[in-house]
Amino acid sequence: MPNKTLRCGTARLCVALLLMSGSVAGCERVVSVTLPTSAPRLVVEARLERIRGKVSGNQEIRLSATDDYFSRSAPPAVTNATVRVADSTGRVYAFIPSPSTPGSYVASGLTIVTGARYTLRITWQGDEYEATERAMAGVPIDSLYFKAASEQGSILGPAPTGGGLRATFDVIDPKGIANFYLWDQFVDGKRTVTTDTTSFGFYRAAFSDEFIDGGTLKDLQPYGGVTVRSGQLVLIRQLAISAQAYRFYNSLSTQAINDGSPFSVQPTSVRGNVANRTRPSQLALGYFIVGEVTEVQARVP
Amino acid sequence: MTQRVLRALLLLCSACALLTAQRRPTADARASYVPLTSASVATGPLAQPVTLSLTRTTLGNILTEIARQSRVSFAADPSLPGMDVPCDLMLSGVPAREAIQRALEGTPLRALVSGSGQVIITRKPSPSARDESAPQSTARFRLSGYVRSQASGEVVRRAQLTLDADAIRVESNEDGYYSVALAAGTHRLRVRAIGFAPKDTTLELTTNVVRDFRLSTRDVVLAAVRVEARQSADDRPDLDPRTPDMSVVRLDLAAVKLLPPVLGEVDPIRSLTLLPGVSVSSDASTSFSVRGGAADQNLFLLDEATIYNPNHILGFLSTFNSDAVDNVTLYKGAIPARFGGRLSSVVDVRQREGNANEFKGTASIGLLASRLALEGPAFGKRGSYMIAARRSYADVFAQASSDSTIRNATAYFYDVNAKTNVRLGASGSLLLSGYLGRDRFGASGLSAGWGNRAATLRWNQGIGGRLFSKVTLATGVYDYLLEFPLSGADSISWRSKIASTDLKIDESYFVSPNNTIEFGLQLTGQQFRPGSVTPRGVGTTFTAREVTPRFGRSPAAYLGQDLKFGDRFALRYGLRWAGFERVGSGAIYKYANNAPVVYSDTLARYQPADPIDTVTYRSGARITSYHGFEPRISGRVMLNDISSIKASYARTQQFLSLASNTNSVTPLDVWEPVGPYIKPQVSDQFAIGYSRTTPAYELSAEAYFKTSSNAIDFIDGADIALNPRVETLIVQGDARAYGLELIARRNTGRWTGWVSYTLGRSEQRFGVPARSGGAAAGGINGGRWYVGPFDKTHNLSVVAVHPLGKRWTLGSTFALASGLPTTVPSARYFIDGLVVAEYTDRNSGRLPLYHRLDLSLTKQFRRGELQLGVLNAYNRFNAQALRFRQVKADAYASEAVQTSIFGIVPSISYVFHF
Repeated sequence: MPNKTLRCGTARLCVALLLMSGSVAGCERVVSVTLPTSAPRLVVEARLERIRGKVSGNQEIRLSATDDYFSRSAPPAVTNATVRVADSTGRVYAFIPSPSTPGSYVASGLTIVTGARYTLRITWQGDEYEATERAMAGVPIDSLYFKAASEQGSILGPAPTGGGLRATFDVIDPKGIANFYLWDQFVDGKRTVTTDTTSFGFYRAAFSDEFIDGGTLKDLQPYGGVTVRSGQLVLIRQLAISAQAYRFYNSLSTQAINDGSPFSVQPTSVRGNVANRTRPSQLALGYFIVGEVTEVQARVP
Repeated sequence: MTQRVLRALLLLCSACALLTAQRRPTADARASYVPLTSASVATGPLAQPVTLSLTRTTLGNILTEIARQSRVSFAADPSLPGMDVPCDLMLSGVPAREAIQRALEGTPLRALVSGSGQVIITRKPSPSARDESAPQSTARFRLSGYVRSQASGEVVRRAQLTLDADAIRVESNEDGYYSVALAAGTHRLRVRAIGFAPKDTTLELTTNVVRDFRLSTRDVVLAAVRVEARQSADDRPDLDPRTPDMSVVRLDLAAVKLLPPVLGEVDPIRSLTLLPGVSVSSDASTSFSVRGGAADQNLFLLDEATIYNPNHILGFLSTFNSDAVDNVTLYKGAIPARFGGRLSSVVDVRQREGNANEFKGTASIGLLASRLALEGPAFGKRGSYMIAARRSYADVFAQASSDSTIRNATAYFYDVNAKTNVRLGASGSLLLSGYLGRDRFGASGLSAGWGNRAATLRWNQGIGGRLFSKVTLATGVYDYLLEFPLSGADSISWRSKIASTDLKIDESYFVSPNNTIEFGLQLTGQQFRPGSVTPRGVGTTFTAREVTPRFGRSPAAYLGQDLKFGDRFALRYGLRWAGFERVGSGAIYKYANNAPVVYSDTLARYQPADPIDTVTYRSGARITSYHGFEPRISGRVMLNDISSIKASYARTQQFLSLASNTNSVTPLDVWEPVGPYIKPQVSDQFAIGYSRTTPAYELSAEAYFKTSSNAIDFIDGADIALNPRVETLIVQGDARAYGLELIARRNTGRWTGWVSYTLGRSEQRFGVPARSGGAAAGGINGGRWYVGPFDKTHNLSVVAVHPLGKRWTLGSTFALASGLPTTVPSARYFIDGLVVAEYTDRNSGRLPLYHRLDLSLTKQFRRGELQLGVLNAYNRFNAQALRFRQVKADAYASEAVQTSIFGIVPSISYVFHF
């Protein structure tokens, strides 16, 4: 996290240097390159949730396949897979393809118990995939309010530029427990997704309480790059994730904010937790997460 | 027409004669000098008529005038009695031989002549002495002392002394000290050094003599003169085929100053990267790879103190100020036994001692920075001092920016170099030198500062003309401090530091000109403070945290010998023993199966293991220790007078590494020592070479093969910053590199410079770590060999310097190299609506071809120089990195983006000497 702050700082230093040196060439340029291709792999976005304080929760597993890097179409949905989830008692829940959304699989009757282990099994094109994850306990969100971005930035990184209100909230981190957070924001029912990967770090971050255990996370604006307008209904969903899932999202974030500067890390594939039991080298991409979700909702005044 | 042909032939013949004379110092020439009076009838220059009309002129000047008119090759020691006595001499058309005799009449001196016509002036033998032509006494005496600059009194390092027309060669050491044992009698001596005019003299040895030689600077101020001076071809060549040195490069800093600068700053380290076997990783960085090694495998020594991060402005410029430095030597292989600690190379940088004769100053103003250097005598002319400082002012320019973030940014660096020395008696000296450098950067509330500090105290002492002893106490520190705001008035500060103190004793024992023994001891204490964060303010909930500091002790001892067998063979060998002891206080984490990294076959990835226990060590308690021998050997065989073949083998060990998985070395990288989990890296290098030196050209070719074990790489997704368990992120494997290096250098004529070419390959292999639980087929790229991050198949540099008229000099460098390896995606997928790239094997792609032309124009004034420079003259868009991202406007589309560090960059600087 402090790294992120510094990376952004150095990107600015780079600009300052360029200006100072009177360079006429830009810092970056879109180029055309020919890339190798590879056989399609299974991509898993599986989230088994339990809303904090309730017994219900979204339980959706989305499956897609990889595509050529420069493909301009939507990800190919995987509709012909068999998807099951087993809980720690050995009971198996079948996930069936959603009739409305291709590639989405849903189940009924599954209630997540925090602390319990869940195993995801997928059969697709003759390969057996498997992932195991423990359901993480959630943490309450103290309050949701709306304010301008702090000039100094926050614990999540430097301040985004520009005025306007941002969804802001506080979280009191439980002491003595390693907590990992992942936040989603919905505005008027629509999930906030940014494709501006250069500022990914401003918008979306998995967060570890490593440096702040037991403290209050004040003025959090994980989507500080997005302004909200009066009258909009904002929903914040805070998902409790495991250390492994945190590493997955942190790695994703590190890769996404790679700006080619000396501070960027070398590109590497992001590895999740879904193994291919049949052909181990053809492991699935993506992640299987189980955890409690804390929801708060408020209308922008 | 016939006449013309004849004249040309005549010219050719005399040229040949001259060449042979120079190449083959005939056996008789060195064997016998006979008195001029008894020599057979003079021919050649000695028969040339001389006309003199000199009054009140010293004998030395009279002889010089005779030599000038007749072109007699002559040498005389100006300290001989009577040389400075003024006298009158009138002669008209008298042969030179007679003129010399006339000039010496009535003095205690006489002239001797060699078979090839070289004349030397010596004392007349005392009546008791035996006749000169009779066999000389077998008594041997020792001549020792320092080679110094005439102009400044500073020592001249690595000067070469040749005695009696090449019969004996010795070199002054890094401190300018030389020692040679000689037979009693008269000797003719020539002293040469890079950047100095050769000096000829004679001396008569009747007892042990301590003597300093002073060389005049080769005039590099006026371009025209410089070329003329170089045409003498008597400079000490850098790629000398006669020394057993191999894979060693010494920079001629005077020549480097004529090369295109970086924004007006002359950077010795950047110049090193124009040499074969050295490849630079990025336009933004002076960090480099030597023969395929990693950037952290180069040891930077500034007056023997370790500089851990020799970079300013994120690596744009090195910390070495060209005003303060007079010697930069790069050892790429065959590293002498006295150096150790890094696998690939040693960059030995020495600061100037300062002018011991008079006060001098240099001020310069450039686009990036201003510099000031002052020097002069100290301790009643028994010593000297030098102080050099510079500061950049990027922030001044930034204030003109329209972007408020940039306008309010702080960005500058400064550094101060200082050195003083005092002579102790005839052959001792005490030196104190220091360096302090710091970069400051601040924007949007973030403030950062980083820099090096180094200090060295050294006592040099020549003992009895046979032993040269150095006792050095040196310390080097690198640290950084970052402060960034949290919400409200709260902030956190983050610091990190590495510090070491070395005590070194180095002894050179000059047994004979053909036999030198070196031995020494070193003891280093190191502390690593990877990072600590401290919150500030009232409302903060941030917890303070410190990554446990690491402590280490590193003893080393070495013994080496330089031997020459006749004219043809030379051998240098040595054995170094070095160890590293990791000591407390500290906490060591324990892992299941003792494996901090586990490899999951099913997920095909490395994962950090979770600690199962912690063992705490009290201060000074030993945690782990490693040690090993490092044999070094190199030899040369002269094929003839101008060419030789050389071969070498060297083993090196490294006990610390830079924990960094970023694109290039950054100021925030942290050094991690070896310990219970991370093993020392060990490298073996073999090289063979050929070198050839003619008066006009130097050619050198070397082929190398290097293998390393316990090479370091990081697991995918490693988050290193402030991580107390770096061992859970590191995998160790094998590395190998091989290549061919060629360099051709031209030192005379209107165009000077060099062409260097490297054909190379460096590869690495990281399998599944022991006890990690994985099957053998795993690892990075499936555990197969793959190209290393610095691999450049082809690397060509052309450096050319050309005088334009009397005052202007054109300098140019051109680089052409294969693109660096990069990792490219073969597929993409979406997570939560974001495109994620799935990469192919690591380093399986390449960046585009790299090429760049830099130019400079230097104008010499009486008291200064104006330098205009342009970097990347034709504005090539050289790729620093290739990355892939989602297109902002279209969620389903992605693009490839190439990043470049700079386009065309003009610069101007003015240097003023006072």
